[in-house]
Amino acid sequence: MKKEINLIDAEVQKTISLLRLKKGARFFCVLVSSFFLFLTAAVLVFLVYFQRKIDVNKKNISLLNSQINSLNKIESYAVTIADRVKGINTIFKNKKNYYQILDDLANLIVNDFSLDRVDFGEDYIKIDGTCRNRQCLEAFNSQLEKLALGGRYSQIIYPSVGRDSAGQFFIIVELKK
Amino acid sequence: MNFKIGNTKFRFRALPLRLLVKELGIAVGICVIIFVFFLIFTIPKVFLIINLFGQLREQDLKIKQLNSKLNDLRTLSESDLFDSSSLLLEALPLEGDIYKIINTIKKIFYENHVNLTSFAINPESGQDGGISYASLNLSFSSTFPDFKQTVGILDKTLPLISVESIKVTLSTSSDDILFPNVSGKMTLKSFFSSLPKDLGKAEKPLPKISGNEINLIESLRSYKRYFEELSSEESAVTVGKENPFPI
Repeated sequence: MKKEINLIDAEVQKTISLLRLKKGARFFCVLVSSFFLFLTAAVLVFLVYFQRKIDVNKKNISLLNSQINSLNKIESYAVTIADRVKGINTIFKNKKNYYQILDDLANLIVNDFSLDRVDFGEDYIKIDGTCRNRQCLEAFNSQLEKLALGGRYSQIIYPSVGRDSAGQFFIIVELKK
Repeated sequence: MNFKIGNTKFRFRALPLRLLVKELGIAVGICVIIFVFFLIFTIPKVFLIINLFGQLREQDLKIKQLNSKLNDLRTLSESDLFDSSSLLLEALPLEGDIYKIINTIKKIFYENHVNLTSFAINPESGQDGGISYASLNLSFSSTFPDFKQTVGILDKTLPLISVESIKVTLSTSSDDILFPNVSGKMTLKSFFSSLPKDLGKAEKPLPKISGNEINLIESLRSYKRYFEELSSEESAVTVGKENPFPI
């Protein structure tokens, strides 16, 4: 069994431990100070870097602004176009296509059919007419079927079809949008 | 105090505790001073850097937007845009010119043999989806095909005119076997709208025009204009020096 014997004097040992403590404390202080100084230096470097970059960016922005300003006519035309197109689209969206309705009406006028009355309602067109014979009625009906296939009207109905003794047909047709 | 262990000589001098404490105190003091300096000087700078970083990001974004806008602007042709914007301003003018609209309507009706028996400006003008309009009430009489043709032309005329309502009565005195004469009333709307007020923000992106919108502009080119000579006179601009020798 090994036995360690410290031959150094107790006072010397105390002095050594105090010296070690002093050395450690110094080292710690230098480390902490260096760390804070390094951080401060890094912060200053970043600060200078960011400020320079901001200055460069400011110059770039003012250059770009002046270049854009020199093309402000083009911009104003583009903005005008976009604004007008938006407005015109709104007008077209709300516009009722009476020409198409009148065109559909004209297509319904077959031989021997006479138009007596047309009502243009908000969401319907009511047509009163007279067919002189059965062939006319068939032709009129065939035109109506074609119109229904077009899909412009949600519903096409005959509220009334009458016939007189002379063989004339009195038709009322409603085209619903 | 000197002593020897093996061949190594050690020499100690007595280190007073007070001196040690003093030295440690100085070291800790310097540390504290540096820390306080750090707190007072560096920490605000860190906040400043965070602020600058934010500014830098904003600037980078702005530069990106401005570059993109500049590139967009450079790809556009000024003359093409001028043509399109002039056309669109004809379609939807800045101010409602009722006189011009009435003359246009009268001309269309006259050319298509529709008898315009009366017209009245509806005092109730208003706004429809942000667009101002003036309303006109007309009374007319004509044959059915002429009336249909007129409605078709009204739909394809600049400035844009919208047929709001039609009330027709049919008269049996027509020479046409199939189509009777029509007479009735129409309400028309003519539109106008001022320009947007938010022009001029440099970083605001250029509005994009879609394919459908290009098609719309192209379709408007085929629309009829009845007072072109007047509009071309209006748009004449003196460029450069004024003629010093007027006739």
